[in-house]
Amino acid sequence: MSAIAPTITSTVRPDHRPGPAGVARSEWTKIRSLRSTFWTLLVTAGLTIGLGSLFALGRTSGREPIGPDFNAAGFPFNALFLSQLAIGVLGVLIVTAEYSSGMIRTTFTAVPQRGLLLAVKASVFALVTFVVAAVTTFVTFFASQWILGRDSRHLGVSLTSPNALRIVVGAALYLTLCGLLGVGLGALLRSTPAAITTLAGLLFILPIMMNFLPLSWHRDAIAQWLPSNAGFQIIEKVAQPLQLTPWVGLAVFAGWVAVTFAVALVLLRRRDV
Amino acid sequence: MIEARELSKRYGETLAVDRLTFAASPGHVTGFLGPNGAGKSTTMRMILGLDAPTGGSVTVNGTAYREHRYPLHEVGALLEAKAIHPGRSSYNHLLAVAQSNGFGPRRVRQVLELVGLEHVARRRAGQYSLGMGQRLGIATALLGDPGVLLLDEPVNGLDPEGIIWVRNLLKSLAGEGRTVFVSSHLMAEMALTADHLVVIGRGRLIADTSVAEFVARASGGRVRVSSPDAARLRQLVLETSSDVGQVEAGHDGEAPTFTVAGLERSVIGDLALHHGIAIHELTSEKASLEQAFMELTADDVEFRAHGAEQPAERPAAPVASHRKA
Repeated sequence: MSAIAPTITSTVRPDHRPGPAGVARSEWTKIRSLRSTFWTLLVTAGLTIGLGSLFALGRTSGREPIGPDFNAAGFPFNALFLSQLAIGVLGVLIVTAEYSSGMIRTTFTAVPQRGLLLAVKASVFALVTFVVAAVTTFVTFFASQWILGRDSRHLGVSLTSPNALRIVVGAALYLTLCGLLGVGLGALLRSTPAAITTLAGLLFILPIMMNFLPLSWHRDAIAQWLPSNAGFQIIEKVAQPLQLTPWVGLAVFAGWVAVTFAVALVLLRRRDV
Repeated sequence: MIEARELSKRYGETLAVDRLTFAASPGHVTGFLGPNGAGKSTTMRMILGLDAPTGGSVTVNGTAYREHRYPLHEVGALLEAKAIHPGRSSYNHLLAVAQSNGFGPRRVRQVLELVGLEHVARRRAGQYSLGMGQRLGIATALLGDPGVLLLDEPVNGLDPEGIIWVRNLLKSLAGEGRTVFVSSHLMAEMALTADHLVVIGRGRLIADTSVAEFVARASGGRVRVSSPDAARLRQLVLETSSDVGQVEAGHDGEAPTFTVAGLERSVIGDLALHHGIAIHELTSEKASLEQAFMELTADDVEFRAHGAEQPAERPAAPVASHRKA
């Protein structure tokens, strides 16, 4: 502590500047250095696998009538209704925790290119989330199909059956998009409660509220475009009446996320930190 | 080099920073002084491009901060102590900041050692004291080996040893030719650390001067004279000095007093001897730095406790000497 001078100076090299690679390393360090990241991802995985298996088990009780159009591959992924919130909250927190702690000022001092920062932060988060989500959805699939397969009616399907792979990968993409929606809302609103409330409102409350509108207001035509309604079509075996087709639905959900990011980016560049 | 020209920031109705023009030059510790709420932090955020000015401009080494290619190497900043996620260790915090500008773990270990946090570097920052938070903030500021250092209240929460450490560190950094710009509301601390002062109150520039000059101007170099024949002595003094205060009655049977500016004690003493006037007291009034600061900012404190006494005994004399020609 008393010897100050010798270690202050370092050699600065031309690459000592903010760039995508360095910022990505930095964001990865931020994500991996928090225990809450690990726990939230574990909760997301646990809820999806646990509830998915539970839903499958419910169908094997024998008391549930199973029709020919039973969506064996996709049905367990109704668990995403709950786990989408966990991953969305993690997305919110990786942005809003920087604001609430004041770290964001250090971050923007080190990386004044705010657009680059948000883009890289979102990309690193998306990559981490997709890897965890994909492992989760594959485990959910195999666990739930094993359970369904033990039923005397042999309800389980294999990954090679029509649409099964699309559903499993699609479910992982859906979770990733939920997390990204959280990141976008966090950057847009900067406050944890505001962003989480908005996230829950968009994913849960909005679709429920639609049910109370009169049919004459083109309720069903509107409802299919809502983020979670559109996104959830990716776990359907075939296109549902009054709903978008699976990939179009997921694309519409991605559009919601993209719009959130576009607004966040404009505000981020303009606003005081 | 930090240069602000007519820098202003308005929040709705409030003018937080009002046409501020000043400079902090390399090789000096420039103290940025003002009461709480004077606009110091807002100014610092504008220097770093975090807040956009509503008027005027500020540059670091001639360029707006956000245009710099090597931001961490250009400016090291400490804005708030403990502006760090409580669940992250200081090592990982520093590593994340370092990596964003292409620095690695080696540099992180260097700065941790420099601020004396190497033994607690793996502990979660939420458990840190305010003083440790300040050290971590200083470590963050030093990461990029910057030519300009910007520190907002760096001694807040430090123990006496830590305060001396920061003082010496800032001086040695300036000694290496760096620009050190450090804010504080503690006048006495600035007197020991800074060689130049930028004083603001309610967003406006009050003084841009050297520390010595600041005190001299504020105290006015007055001499306090106490004499049983004060009225006659005052008349004699008035022949050589135009700035002589009124005679005030002495308390508890003491002789009446008055004050004189611009005359040495010896001159007054000789004058009194020459005219056979007894003198009971002859003292140089040296305003403490705190006092000088309070007097200068008395009108510019935004919040004051109700009924608090005005510290100023005399109307504040404007102290503005611009270093730059």
